[in-house]
Amino acid sequence: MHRAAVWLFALAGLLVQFVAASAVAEDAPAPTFTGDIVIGATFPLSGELENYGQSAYYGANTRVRMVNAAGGVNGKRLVLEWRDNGSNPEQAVADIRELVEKHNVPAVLGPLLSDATMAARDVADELEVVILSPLASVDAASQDNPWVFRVGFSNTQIASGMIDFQMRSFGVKSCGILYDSRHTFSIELSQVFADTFTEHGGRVVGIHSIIDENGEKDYVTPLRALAEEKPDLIFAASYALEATEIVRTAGDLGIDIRLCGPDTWDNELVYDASGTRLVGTAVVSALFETAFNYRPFQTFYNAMEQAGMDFPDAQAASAYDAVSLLVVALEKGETSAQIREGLLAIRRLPLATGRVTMGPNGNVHKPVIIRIVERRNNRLLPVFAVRIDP
Amino acid sequence: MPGIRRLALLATVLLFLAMHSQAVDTPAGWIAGIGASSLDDPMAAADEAAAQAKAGLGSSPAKLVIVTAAQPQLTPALVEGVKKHFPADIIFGSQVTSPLSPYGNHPDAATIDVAVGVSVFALGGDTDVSTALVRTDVEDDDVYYNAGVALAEQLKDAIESSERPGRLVVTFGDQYTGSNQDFASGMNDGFEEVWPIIGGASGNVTAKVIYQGEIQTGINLGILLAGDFTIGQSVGEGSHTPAIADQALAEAIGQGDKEPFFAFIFNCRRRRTGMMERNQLAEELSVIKERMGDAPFFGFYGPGEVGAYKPGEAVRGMGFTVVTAVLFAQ
Repeated sequence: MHRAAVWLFALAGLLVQFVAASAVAEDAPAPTFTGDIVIGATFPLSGELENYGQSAYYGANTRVRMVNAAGGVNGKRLVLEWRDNGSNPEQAVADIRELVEKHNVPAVLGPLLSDATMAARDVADELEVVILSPLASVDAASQDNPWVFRVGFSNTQIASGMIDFQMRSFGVKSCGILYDSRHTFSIELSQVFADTFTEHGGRVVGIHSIIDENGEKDYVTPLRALAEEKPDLIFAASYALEATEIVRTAGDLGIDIRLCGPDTWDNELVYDASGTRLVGTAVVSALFETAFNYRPFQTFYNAMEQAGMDFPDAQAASAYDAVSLLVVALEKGETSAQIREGLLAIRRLPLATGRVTMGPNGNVHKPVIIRIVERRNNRLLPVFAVRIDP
Repeated sequence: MPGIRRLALLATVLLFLAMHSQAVDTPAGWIAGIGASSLDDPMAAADEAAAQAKAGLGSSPAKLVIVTAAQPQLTPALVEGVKKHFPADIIFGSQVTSPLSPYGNHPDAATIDVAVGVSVFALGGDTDVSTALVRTDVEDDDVYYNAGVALAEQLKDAIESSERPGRLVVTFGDQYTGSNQDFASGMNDGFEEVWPIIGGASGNVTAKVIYQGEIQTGINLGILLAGDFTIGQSVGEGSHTPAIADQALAEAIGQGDKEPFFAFIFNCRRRRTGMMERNQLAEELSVIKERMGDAPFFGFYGPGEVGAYKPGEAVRGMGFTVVTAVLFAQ
């Protein structure tokens, strides 16, 4: 999507939220605030990862609107100072520096994904600012850095959850792995998956990149190579756009081996653009289903629908939950150090993506959900399969 | 034709019960009957299945009746059909993806969730029965865990004070896979010690469940059976094939030093999907019957299971599994 179109899209979203907020205001007196708490935010609202950034943007803004409608934080209005990093890790680092130095923010919501979060580790340490990533999965993202936190799953959690599910539920014993050698998260996840699969007694038949030696995308060669080994399963550590191509190519090649993907596959783009070969594919997800009667999820879902998002997804939920975590931490204090301590104190907090406990290294502990794609009413939709508790 | 079909079914039941009484070492106090019907009309189906179940009790008064029915058939008319044979306050039951008993698991159904199918389990004899109900349609962020705790607390006195060697809790209702993990965890904490528990999900919070002859939604039930038996437990997982059910039952049966006389079996809806696609549902019923010999069994296919891998282990909420609790005479 063109960058200007993204901001129009975002503006339309804000208008919807404004109208929704106005409707609420008719029934309840508007809260009065004693001031503002400004938190920075940098997401990929444009560029190759914009499908994640835009969903997450909606989720975060919706939660902020709800918080302010309920009186804000410590009597103050919560404000997110937004930046679009254009899916560029270096821009994300520049955004954080600018947000701290010019706007004096104590915390930044984002960067959203792994590459940018890894790039931002040093600046977070240097400026002593809390960064809270909704979706970064690289294991090292929050390790040995007291200022980096994440709401999403680590690569170890993603791999362990999917392997546990595949081995227990389908008796999978062998797997092939695809990865995208351009992205840190994918390189690490493919290795973690291979190591974990082997530790559980499985056999890894091959690990192949979907990027060839010339830097071009090639889905046919690695898929054919894996198919020749006839594994029970193919796990592909890729983002959504590449996921659609992997699934479609597997279909074109007549490969009927069970497919699965990480939480980056749990995205509307994958469900809409992968074709029918996607049916039966398992994805890691952060989302609880409406079937659960789990009220924090239902509250999130209803709020997102009211805000105009007809397919509230895991990315929106993770950003929504990230704001909830920041609010709980801000209630303890508004400096970077106090926010950090507040985050570290969180135990069994009921959020949209499950009950969350913050670990000492900035990793959340929460259930890993596995969803399986089914065809329902002529749409491909992810349906809850199992929940794997930490 | 309906009359002939009914007679044939009755003859099958009587033959089954006769074989049962001859071949299986059943505790003197365990008297049970099972009936099934594939009639379209809910009241007629319930009437037929309940009559068969009652016949199995002989002269023993019923203490407990569990009805499993296809979701469209679980109506007040169905309950009225059961009430023709049993008092309302002992009638419990659930909508199910498919009933599961020696009389069938509906391999020819057109859809995964069967449109027609009723099974009735009736228990008489001297087995002690206690029941509990907890609501899950309440405002509570931890509703399933708290429901599990509350269910255990309601049954705790009865299970601890009973001097019968066999004590088994059967549970079903709003315990969809995912939420059933919190529910099981709550039961473990509520009981404060490990007791044999087995169960299955009727569906989610909208699932229809029968409690004392009345259809409700947003509830979970617990039924404590205390009698002169021992219990084997197992979980089958790993692939959606009949071999997994066979393996699970073999494990549970292997834990006893006698032939089993009964089993509760709760089975995954998605396992059913896989087996239905491969035409293996009839085979699954065959392997269960073969493994159980002359002993009957009762349960259902649904969207979640609660069970333990072996006796003495804390119960867990699960999915994609078949869970079993096998009863042996002492």
